[in-house]
Amino acid sequence: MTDTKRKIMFLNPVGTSVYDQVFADMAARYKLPGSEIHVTSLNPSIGKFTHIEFRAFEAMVTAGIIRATRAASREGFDALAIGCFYDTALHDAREVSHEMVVTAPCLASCRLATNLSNRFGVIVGRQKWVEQMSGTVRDYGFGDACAGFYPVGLGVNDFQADHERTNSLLIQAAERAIEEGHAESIILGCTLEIGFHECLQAQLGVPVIDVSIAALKEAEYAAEMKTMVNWVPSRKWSCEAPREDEITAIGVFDQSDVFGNRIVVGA
Amino acid sequence: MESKWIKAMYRVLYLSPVAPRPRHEELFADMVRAHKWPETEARVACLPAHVGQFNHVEFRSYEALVTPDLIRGVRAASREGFDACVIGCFYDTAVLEAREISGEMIVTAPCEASCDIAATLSNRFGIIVGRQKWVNQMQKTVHRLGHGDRLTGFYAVGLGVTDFQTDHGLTRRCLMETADRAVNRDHAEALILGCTMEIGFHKDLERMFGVPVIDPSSAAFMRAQYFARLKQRSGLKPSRKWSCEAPPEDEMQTLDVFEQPPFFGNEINIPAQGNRQ
Repeated sequence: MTDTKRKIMFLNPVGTSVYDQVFADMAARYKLPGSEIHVTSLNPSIGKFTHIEFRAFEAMVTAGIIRATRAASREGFDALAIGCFYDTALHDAREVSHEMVVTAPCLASCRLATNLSNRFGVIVGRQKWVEQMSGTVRDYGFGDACAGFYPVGLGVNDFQADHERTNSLLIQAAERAIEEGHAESIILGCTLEIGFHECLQAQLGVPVIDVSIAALKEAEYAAEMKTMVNWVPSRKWSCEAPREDEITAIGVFDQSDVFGNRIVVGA
Repeated sequence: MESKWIKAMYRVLYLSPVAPRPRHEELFADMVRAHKWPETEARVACLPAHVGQFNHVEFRSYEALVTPDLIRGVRAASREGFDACVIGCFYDTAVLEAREISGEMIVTAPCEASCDIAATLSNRFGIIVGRQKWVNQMQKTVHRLGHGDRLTGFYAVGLGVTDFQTDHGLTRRCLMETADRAVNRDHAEALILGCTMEIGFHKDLERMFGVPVIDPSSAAFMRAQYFARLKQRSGLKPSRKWSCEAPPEDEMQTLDVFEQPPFFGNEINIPAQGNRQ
């Protein structure tokens, strides 16, 4: 048995548990000894969303992400990763996370890609996503490092349906990113593009970043800095949190059954 | 001449993303009455009380909690046949999300409306906000809208949203002091009042400083009314191509969380009324 040194939640921000085991398997394979990982999804009462490809779908699950963040913070988690490449509600969640650090796949992946290369391409599902995601990448300060977004014409729920087809489409798009966009690394811009990065990396010869792994590892890294160096979120100026008494008076922040599912990957 | 009922040509909703409270909705209804055209029919409404007792959304997490009901309200307004809708908060809360499901209804909001007007009337403008907390998020919005280089800065007066209408003398003094810094120190050529609850002070500031001072709720309502006319007269409607694609209607119905009435709290309906121009 290994002692728990840090507790991390990987929150799948949808109202179904159908992909939770995929992320739990990823966590079991890539986590550090001493990390206890809880893979969770939201209660289906928020809506049985299997994906949040639309801004309006994100809007509907965001309240659940806020409640989940508060619950995770109260449970004593050191870090939380919000498992969607839109980085859904990242800034909103950070506001109510107290001393828990919150991160998300796009931010984590861009940081990793710019550590490993000067210029990266992002392989996404559909053209629909590009405007919002490119705005997020620019907002984080990585706009100049982004070679472009390359849609493969698949929706979120399609990536895991036919692995051979997905692999083939990802390879084609990544080759375009490298040859036409001069990308030096590749980000797989959807958490459900999970499971393809090793094969792509071997074939393409550049770093290929799986965004779920990147988010989990960044959360783990932040948790380690929190527990070892006491680096916790600022609450000054724009980082100010709402007052607890006001949150209580408003009366809609806390509910007992915020999570619909939870898989614990022990330390 | 005597005012009379006339047929409405444009329908505009002003939706305040908070719970109803005394005098709040009436404040914006008065603003609408002052700015609407005779042929415009308008509604001022809040979110339903079940959203939570929010009397402001100064925090990102508060915006997050009201957003599902904003989406439902915008969807309901579109189905009701409104031509345009204002989301009445200077954070432009959920405006991009709301646009996605607005059908043929045009959605606008105070920050984008005010910046467009300020950029038309001047080359450089300053924004007077309540608290420093707000600046980071609002600055990102202004930059996203393409107006970053026109900003002289954000100027926080140290008042919360609910303070602005509490002591008008104090609010006026705070706004005057910060406006002086923006205009005379940083060379702002126009001012934007960066909160819808700063309503009622723009004329005093204009007289004092001799620059355009933009009240954001008026700006947003007038922009919505303008777009409503463009829609009716020129057939201009929201794009649904690429990033503007809306979710499939059957998927939204299956998810079963987009239709949960009541959609609005305390509606004030202002009919088309007056003399034809």
